[in-house]
Amino acid sequence: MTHIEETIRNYIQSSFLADGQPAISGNGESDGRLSSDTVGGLRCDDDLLSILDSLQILRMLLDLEAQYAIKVENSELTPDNLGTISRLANFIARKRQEVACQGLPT
Amino acid sequence: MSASPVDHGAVVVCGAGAAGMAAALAAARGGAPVLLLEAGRQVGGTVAHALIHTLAGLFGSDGQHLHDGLPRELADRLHAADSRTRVRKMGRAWVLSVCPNIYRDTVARWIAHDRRITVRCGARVTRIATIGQRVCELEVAAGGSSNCLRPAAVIDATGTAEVARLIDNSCVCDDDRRAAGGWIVRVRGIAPGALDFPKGIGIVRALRDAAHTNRLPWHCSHAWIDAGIDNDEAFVKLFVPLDARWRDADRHCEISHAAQTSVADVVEFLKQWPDFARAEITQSGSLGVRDGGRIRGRYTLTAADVRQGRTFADAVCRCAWPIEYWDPERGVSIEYLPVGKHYDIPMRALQLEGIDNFWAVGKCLSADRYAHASARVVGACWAMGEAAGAAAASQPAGVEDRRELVRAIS
Repeated sequence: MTHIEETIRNYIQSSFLADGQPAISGNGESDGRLSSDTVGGLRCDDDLLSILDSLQILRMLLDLEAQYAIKVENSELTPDNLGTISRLANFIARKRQEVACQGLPT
Repeated sequence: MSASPVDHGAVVVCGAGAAGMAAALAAARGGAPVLLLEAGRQVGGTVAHALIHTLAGLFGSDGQHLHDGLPRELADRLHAADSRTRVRKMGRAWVLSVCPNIYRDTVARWIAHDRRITVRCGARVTRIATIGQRVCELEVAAGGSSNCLRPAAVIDATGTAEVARLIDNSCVCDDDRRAAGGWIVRVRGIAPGALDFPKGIGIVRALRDAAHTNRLPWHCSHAWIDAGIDNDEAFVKLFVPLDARWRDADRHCEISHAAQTSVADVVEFLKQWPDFARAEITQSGSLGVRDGGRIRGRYTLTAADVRQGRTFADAVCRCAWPIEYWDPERGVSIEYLPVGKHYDIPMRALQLEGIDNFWAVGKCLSADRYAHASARVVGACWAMGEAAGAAAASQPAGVEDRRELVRAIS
C-alpha cells in the first residue's frame, strides 16, 4: 500500500465510516458481503462509489485537493479516477506530477 | 359550511400529505367514516407540492420493503402508474424514484376512490375542545365560515402540529435549530448523462465555489442537483433556513419569494456549462418543510434509539433511513445506520399524554432533533399514518353532551 493509498483509506474510515460499520464489497449493489479485511478497514480495490455517497465523495475531493495542492477538473470526475482507493491514489499522484512539471508548488 | 352526517362521529384527519392520506385510508378500511381536512387546494402534501422525486423510508439497507400495508401498496401503485418509477440506490440508502406529478395524481385518485373518505380542501381546524381524556369538539373554518363537529378521533398530520398546538401550545417543540427547508424546481433540457455519478458532483462543487465567492447567495453553497426520471431532467434543490417567524403567513411568503429568486439564479448559473446551456425551469415546488414542530408525546424517540436500532413493544413501523439532518448553517450531514439495522417508531411517540383519541403522525411525531431527521421521511410517514388511522377507526363515536365540556382552548 502506498502512502497516498494509506492516507485516503485512513481519511475515509475516520471521516465517513462509523465505528463498527463495515464497508461493503460490491460493484454498486449492496449485497451485504463484508470486506475480508474489515478489521483493518477498506481494501484498496473496494468500490468507493458504492461505499460513499455523493456528499462524501465531494467532501473527500475538496479535502484531498487542499491536502495535495491539486485541482481536479469536472471532466476528471470519473470512476476510472475515483472508483477505488488505488485508482484515486494513482490519479492524485499523476495530478501532483502535472503540478510539479508546471513548476507550481506541490 | 353546513354540517353533514360525516361531521359527527367521524375520524377527522387534518392534513392530506403522506401521513394524513395513509391515516384516512386506514381508518376508512377500518370501517370508520373519515373527514380529511386539507388547508391547501389539493391533497398530496410535501411530495406532490414541494416536488419530492425520491421517496425515502420505504426500503431497508438491502433494498427490500420495510413495511407491508399501505407503504408497499403505494409503491405498487406508483410502479403501475408510471413505468419510469424505479427503486434506486442513493448513497448507501434506497429510494423510490418517482415523478412528483404521477405521485400527486395517483394518491388523489386513491383517496377519491374510497367513498368513506370525505375530503375538504381549504379547511383548517381553528379550535378544539376536550372532555377528560378525549377530544370532543372541533371548530373547522373553510371558505369564510366555520362549523363545529364532534369527532370520534382526531389525527394531526399537518406536518406543523397545528392541531396539537390548539390543544396545548406547550406540547409542541419548535426547535431553535430546526432543520432547514428546501425549495425544489424541475429543470428540463439538460444533456443526458450530465449528472451521472460521480461526474455530477462537479456541478455541486461549482455551486459551492460560486457561493463562496459571492457569485451566488451564501445558502447556495448547500444547493444540490439530482437527476430526474427523464434523461434530460434534473431537480435543483435549494437550501432554505427557516427562522423563528417562518410560520407567519407574511414571513412564509418572503422566504418563498427569496428562494424562488435564488433558484432562478442557480439555474442561470448552470447554463455556463454546455450540458446545461438549454436548461429551463419547467415546474416550481412550494416550500418544503422538514421540521415544522414536533409534539412532546408520551415517548420521545431519541437519536440513541435510532443508532441502536431499538425495538418497542408498541411499534407502529420500522425505519432505516440515515440521520439526515439539514443544519441551518452548516448544511446537511448524513449518518447511516449499520447495514441491516432498523429501528422502531412506537405508538407512544404519536400520542399526547392524557388524550386518548388523538394522534400526531408523520413529521410532527415526538422525536428529538436527530431522531426526527431520520424518522420524518415519506415511507415512515405513510406507515405511521396507517397505524394511527387503524387505531382511530376503533374509537367510539364522539361525545354528545356538550355540557360536559371542561376545557376549550382556542
